[in-house]
Amino acid sequence: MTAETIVTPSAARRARILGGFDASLLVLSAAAVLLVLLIGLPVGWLFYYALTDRTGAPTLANFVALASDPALREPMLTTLTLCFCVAIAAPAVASPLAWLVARTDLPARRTIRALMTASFVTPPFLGAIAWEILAAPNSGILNQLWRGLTGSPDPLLDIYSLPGLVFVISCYTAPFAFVLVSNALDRIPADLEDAAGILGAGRWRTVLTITVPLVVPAILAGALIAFLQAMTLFGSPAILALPAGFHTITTKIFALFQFPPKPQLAAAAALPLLVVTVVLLMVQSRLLGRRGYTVVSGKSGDPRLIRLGAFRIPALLLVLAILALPLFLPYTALLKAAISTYPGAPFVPEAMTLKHLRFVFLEFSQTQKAFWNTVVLALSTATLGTLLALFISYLTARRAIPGSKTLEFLATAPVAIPGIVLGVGLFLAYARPPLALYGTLWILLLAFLTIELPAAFQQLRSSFRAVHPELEEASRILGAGRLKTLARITAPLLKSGVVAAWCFVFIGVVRELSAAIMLFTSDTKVLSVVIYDLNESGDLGAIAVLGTAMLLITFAVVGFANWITGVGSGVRLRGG
Amino acid sequence: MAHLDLRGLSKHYDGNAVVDRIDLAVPAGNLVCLLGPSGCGKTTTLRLIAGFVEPTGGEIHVDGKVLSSPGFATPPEQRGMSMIFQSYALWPHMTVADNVAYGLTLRRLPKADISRRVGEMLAAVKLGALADRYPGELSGGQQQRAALARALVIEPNILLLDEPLSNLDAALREEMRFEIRRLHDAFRYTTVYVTHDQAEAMTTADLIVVMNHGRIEQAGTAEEIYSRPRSAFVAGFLGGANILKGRAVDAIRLDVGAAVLRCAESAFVAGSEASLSIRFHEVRVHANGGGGGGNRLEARVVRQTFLGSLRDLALELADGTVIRASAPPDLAIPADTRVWVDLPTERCRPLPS
Repeated sequence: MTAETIVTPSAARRARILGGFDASLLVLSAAAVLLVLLIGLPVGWLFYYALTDRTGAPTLANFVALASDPALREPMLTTLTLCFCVAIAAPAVASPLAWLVARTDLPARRTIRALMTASFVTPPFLGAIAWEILAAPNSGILNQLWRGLTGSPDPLLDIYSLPGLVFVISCYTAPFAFVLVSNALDRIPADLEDAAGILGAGRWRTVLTITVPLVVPAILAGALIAFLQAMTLFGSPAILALPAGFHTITTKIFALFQFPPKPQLAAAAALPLLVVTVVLLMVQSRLLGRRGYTVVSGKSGDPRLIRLGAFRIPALLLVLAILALPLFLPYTALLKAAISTYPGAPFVPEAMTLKHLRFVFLEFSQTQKAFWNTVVLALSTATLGTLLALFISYLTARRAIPGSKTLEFLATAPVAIPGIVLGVGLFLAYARPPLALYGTLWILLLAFLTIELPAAFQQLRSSFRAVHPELEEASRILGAGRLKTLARITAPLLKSGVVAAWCFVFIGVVRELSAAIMLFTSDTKVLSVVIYDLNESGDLGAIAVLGTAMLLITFAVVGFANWITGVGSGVRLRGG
Repeated sequence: MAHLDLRGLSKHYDGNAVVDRIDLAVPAGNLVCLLGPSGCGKTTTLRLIAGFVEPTGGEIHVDGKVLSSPGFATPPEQRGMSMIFQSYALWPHMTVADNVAYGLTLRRLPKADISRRVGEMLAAVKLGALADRYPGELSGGQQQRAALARALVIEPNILLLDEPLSNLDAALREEMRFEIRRLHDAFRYTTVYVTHDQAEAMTTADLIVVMNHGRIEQAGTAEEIYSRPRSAFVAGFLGGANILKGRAVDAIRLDVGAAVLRCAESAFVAGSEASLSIRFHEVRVHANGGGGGGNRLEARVVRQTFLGSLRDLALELADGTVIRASAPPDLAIPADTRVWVDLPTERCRPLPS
C-alpha cells in the first residue's frame, strides 16, 4: 500500500459530507431566496412601514392611531363582531347538515355533498353580488316580490347591513365547516358507535355521548376557519358594507391606499390580521392533530344510518332550503340578471335581452384584456406553482436533503398571510427600485404564487406520502435506476395529484380578489377586479355575464380535477 | 345468563346468502366459537345476534323470546348484550374508567355502586392502576383488557366477541386466550366468540361451530371435530389432513386409484363418489414392507423436511397422488427412496358425498 492511496476515514467522511452539503446547500439557498422574495420581503416592508413615520423615523404612532382614532377603531370592532357572528353561524348550520348527510338515511345524500362542494368553489364576492341582486333594499328581486305580494312599501330584507354581511359571508364559509365535520364523521369507526349501542345506549344517546364529542375538534376547527375567512375577506364587505356606510379592517386598509395614500397606517392595520391568522392556524392544527384521538384500526363496516322515519322528507326540504341560500337563489339571480333588461324585471320574453352579453363580449373594452390577463396569470401560476410544489414536496417527502423540515415550513407559511395583507406587503416591497414590479403582471404572479403555494404543496405532499417508498425500492431492486424509477413508477402514481394541484391553483387564481385589488393597474386588471369595478358603477347585468363566465370556467376545471382524481376530495381553496 | 337459539337464520345481500339457514342452540353459560375462514359469514352471524343487522330469514330467540326475525329486530341497546370488537372500539375521548362506567351509567346505577363495580372489574382484568389513562396511552394488550372490562361490567345476558385477539402479537394472543377462558370460568356468561384461529377456538370454546360459505359445516367439542370431521373442509381446516378422493366399492371400502382403502366405520354408498381423510401424523412410514395389514401402500419420498419435533414427508403414491406424513424426527429417509406407508383403518375417516 503506497502513501498516496491512504485516505484516512475522517478525511473521506469530511469529503462526503462536503459533497453532500454542496448540492443540498445550493438547493436550499435557491429555495430560501425564492421564499424570501415571496414572503420575507413583503412581510418585512410591512413591519418597516408599520413602525416608521413618513420620514422613515421609528415610531409607534401608527398603532396609537389604530387604537385611538374612531375612524380606524370602528372598523376593527365591526370586524370582531362580524368574525364572532360568522364563527358561530357557519358551523351551527354546517355541522347538523354534515351529520344528516353522514349518519342518516336522508335522501339524495351524495347530491347534497356535491352541491356543498359547489358552494365551496363559488367566489365569495360573486355570492355577495348575487345577493345584492336578490336583496338590495329597493331593486332586490326578493324585496320586489315581497312588495308585490304584500303591498308593503318597506323592503323585507336589507343586504347592505351588518346582519346582511354576516349572512352572506356565512353562506360561503359554511362549506369549509361542512367539509371538516363531514370528513371527521366519515373517519369515526362504526365500531365506536356500535359499542355504545350494544351497551344499552339508544341512537340519540349515542349521538350525544359518542359521536358529537368525537367531532367537537372538527367543529371548533370549522369555527376558526369561518372566523379567519370573515376577518380576511375583502370582496364581500367592500360590496355590502361600503354602501351601508361602514368599514371592516380589509376595506379600511384598501381605503387607506386611496388618495391621499397612508401606507404607514395601512401597514399597521394589516399587522393584526397577520398575527391573529398565525395564532388561529396554530390553534387549529393542534385541534385537528390531537394524538389522543387515534384509534386502533380493525375491519369496521359502514356506520349504521339513523332512520329519520317521518322526518325524512321534512329534513330534506330543510336541507334544500339551506342550500338555496348559497346556491339556488344566487345562481338563479345571476343567470336571470344576465339575460334580463334589469335584474328585477318580470320573467317574460319582452324583458329578456342579449344586450349584456353583447356589451361584455363586444363593446366593453376591458373584457378582452381582463380575460387575457386572467388566463395568462392562471396558466403561469398553476404551472410554476405546481412545479415548485412538486420539487419541494419531493425533497421533503423523501428527506433528500438536510433542512427539508425548514423548507416544508416555508412552503406552508403563506397560508398564514391574508390576501390583502400580502397585497399591501407586495405593493410596499415592489413599488420601488430596484424591483419596480408594480404595474406589471409580474407582481400579480408573485402574489398568486405565494397565495397558492401552500395548497399545491399540501396536495402534492399527501400524494407523495401515498406513494410508499417501498414501491420505488421494489423497482430499484429489479434493476431500474433512480430516474427510470421516477419515470415508470413515481410519476404515474403522482399524476392525478399533480393534475389536481394544477387545477386548484388555476381556480384559486381565477377567483382571487383580495390581493389583486391592491396590486392592479389599468393595464393589469383581472376578471375579479373588473367585476368589482362594474359593481361600483352598478352594472349588474354585465357582472352577471362575467360572473357566469367565471363560474363556468371554474366548474369546468373542478369537474376535470374531480374526474382525474376520482372523487371530489380535499378541495382546498382560499377565499377571494 | 341466557339461552340463545338461532333458527334457520339467514342474511342475504343483493340475493347472495351470506348467512344461510343456520340452526344453533347455545345453552346458558356456554362459550361457543364460530370458526371459519374470512368471508364464511361468522361475523355477520355475530352482528345478527347483536341486532346490528336484520335477518332476511329465520329467527333469533333468547330465553324463548324472539329478538330478531325478518322485518323485525329489537335494537341492540335493548338486548342486554355486550360485545368486544376487533378494533376494541374504546372511545378515545374517555378515560379507561369512563369507558368501563359507560354501560353502568346508562343503567342509572348510584354513583357509589358504579365506582365500586368499575374498580372491581378493572382489578379483575389487572388494569386498576391505569383507570385514568386514555385509550391512546395504552398498549394493545391493555386496550384489549379495557374492552373486556367494559363488556363484562354490565353483567350481560350474552357476551359477543368479534376476533378479539387479531390485533395482538403472537405471545400476547396466547396469553389472552387463556385469560378469556379464565374470565369465562369466573363469570360464566353465555358467550359467542368469532375467530378464524383454530388454536383460539380450541382453547376457549365449550362448543366449536365450523362455518363455511354461510353454513354450519359441523358443530361439536374440540375433540369431536378434530377426531371425527364430517367434511373434507372441516378435516382440512382443523389441523392438517390428507383428503383422498375416490369411488366407494362398498360401505367401508374406497377405491382411491392407488389402492382400495378400508375404513373402520361404514358410511359409503357403493358406487358413489366419496373421500376419506387421514391426518398427517396418523400416516405411518416404514422403510420395508414386512408385516402390517389393512391399508398398506407403496410410495416414493418426494421431499423430506426436518422441523425439529417432527419430520414432514411428501409421499407419492403409485397413481401419482401426493400425501403428507409427519414422521418422528429421527426417521431420516432421503428423497426418492421407496417406502411403505400404513393408513390405519381406524384412522381413515369416511367423508361421504
